[in-house]
Amino acid sequence: MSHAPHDARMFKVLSGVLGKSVEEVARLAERQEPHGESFWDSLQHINIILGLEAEFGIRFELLEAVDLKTVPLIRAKLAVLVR
Amino acid sequence: MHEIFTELDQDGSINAYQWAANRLSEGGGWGGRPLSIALLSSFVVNPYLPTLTVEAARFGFEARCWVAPFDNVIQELIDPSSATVRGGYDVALIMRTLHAACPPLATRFLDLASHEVDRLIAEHVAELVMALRRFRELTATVVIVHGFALPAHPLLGILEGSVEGSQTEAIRRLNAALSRDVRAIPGVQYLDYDRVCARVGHANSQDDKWWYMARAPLSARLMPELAREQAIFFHALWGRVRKCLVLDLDNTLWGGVIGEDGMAGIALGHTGLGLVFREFQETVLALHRRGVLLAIASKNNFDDAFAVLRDHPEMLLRPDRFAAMRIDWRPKPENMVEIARELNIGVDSLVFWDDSPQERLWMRAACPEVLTPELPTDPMLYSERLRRLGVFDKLSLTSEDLNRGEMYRDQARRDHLRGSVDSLEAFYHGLAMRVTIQPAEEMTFARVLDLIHKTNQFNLTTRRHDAQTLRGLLADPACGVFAMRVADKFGDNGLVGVAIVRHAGELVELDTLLMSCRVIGRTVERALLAHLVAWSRQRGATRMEADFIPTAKNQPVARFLPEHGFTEMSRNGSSSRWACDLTTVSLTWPDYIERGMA
Repeated sequence: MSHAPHDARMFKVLSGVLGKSVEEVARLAERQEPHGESFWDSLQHINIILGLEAEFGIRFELLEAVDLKTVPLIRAKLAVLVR
Repeated sequence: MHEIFTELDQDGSINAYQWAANRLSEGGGWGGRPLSIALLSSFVVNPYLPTLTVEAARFGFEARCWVAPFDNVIQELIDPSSATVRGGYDVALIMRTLHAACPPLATRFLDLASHEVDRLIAEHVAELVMALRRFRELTATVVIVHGFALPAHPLLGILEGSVEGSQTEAIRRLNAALSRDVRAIPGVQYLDYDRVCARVGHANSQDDKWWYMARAPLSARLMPELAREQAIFFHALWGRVRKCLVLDLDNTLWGGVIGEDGMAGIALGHTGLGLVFREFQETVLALHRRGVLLAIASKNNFDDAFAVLRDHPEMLLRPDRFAAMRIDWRPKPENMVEIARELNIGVDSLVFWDDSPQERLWMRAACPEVLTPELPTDPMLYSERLRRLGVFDKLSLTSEDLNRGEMYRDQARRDHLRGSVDSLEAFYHGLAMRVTIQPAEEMTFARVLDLIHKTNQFNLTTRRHDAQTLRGLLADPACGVFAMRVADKFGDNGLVGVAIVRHAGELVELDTLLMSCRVIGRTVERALLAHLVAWSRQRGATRMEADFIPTAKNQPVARFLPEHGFTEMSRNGSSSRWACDLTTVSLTWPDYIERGMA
């Protein structure tokens, strides 16, 4: 499992929205390619992005929010936005 | 449930709502009153559902939400075969933007002549009223219709509020017509959506990103406010609307403790903390004026507290505002049962408002039917919390409501019936108290002296030893001067008790025993006495003697000696001398209090 600095908080948000355990989310995330398939649907996507904004106190721009469909992409964006 | 909402309210973020929703759905539900909700909207509402579910749960409802096909509001209402009609929902929420409901008013308002604006408003209202009448013929589903929000950015800029025929004015007229006409249909309610938006700010109520991305405009800030407003409607429709607000006094209606600070010392007035409590009283009075009964449950000497209600120049809530009063030293849950009986309403009609977390915990354990809201520690926030409570809200206001307070006062009966509270022990256990008793020393000297001089209520002898005398007692090997600290799961109360004993041969004399009013009613005095008994026995004493010297304020300690194995030996005026046989008396440390270490 990756140990990127914001993983724990990111997985907590994903876990809340998807109704899966943090461990399961982390497992699914590990298998995910940067530009692969989402393991959430489009409505869950809104809540994930909303949740990440609230958790990290950040705002994604519209196009970022549309594009952040996988854990590796979210992780990379958080590394930039969150100090 | 209480725990879930306490955590939620500390955080309040969209994630906290998501987690709370998940916890509520664990194990297939939590057993609330089932409520099926159909959401008919002109935008995507799915991200809103967890928040709505949680706020509905706050008011006792286990919500099951169903989202009607996107932007099909009128069709869903009038088509007998629509899923909304056939679904047999308890309630349908009609949530539309002005863009969807009446596009010209939203998008080309400045092109419209005033008669066209009038026509559009009339047509929109007539169409919706027709559809709602049809819907109500087809179903028993209650409908809550949202009004429209005023624009965050008015079309005429700074002139918007100054000219006739502005878009703002048109939307206000549209809302007024909607409110009037839809509420005339049985089973249809109107929700003032603009006011909900105004609470978070119009500019904060829509999230453009979600609008452009997913046609989901409700912002994270707005969602909890809107959900709460809707849930208050659910509560007014199907919940137990509360009738009576039962208030504590010290640090609730005024700042400070009347028994300690006196009339001149409490905070109630026009500046600082005094203003906070005065404005809280205004909030309470406003509730009262719309029909909510008021009562008092306070641990105080009646005369002290009543004098404030009657005579304090800044008091707004005079005695005649209260339909029932219990100002004594009995457990508050017993008094709540009595208040309900006296007013001839159910215990489940009461709301208990008390600054003490211990009293609230006790009330929730002993009287779960009473609503005991968690209060902020900062009294400045009391008014807002009370205004937002929502449990007194009703769907209509009658002239009877406006006179209710007087009706109840007129028929107030005094059949004092003692309700029993079995869970005292459980309450004490739940507090997880820790009591530390140590000989007073230099570090604690100032606080001990302060308590000796300040404590009025729980003070057996009210002997105000001066600093020199106290130093003498500390230095005397025959004397024990003890300081008691009390902590519980809510925090550390600090050094709150003092006892002074003097040993001579077979006899130990209890010179002083006092405790701050902060910890009265939690039996820590028994721990203090048990400690003194152990100290005396260790020194070979067989007898303890104590005076009770009554004052105007120390009623709370009047029964202390007889309740702890002392028998009266003699009287001298109003004072009395008591003794207890240390060889036989059973005075043990309460098993629910942990012994603290130095």
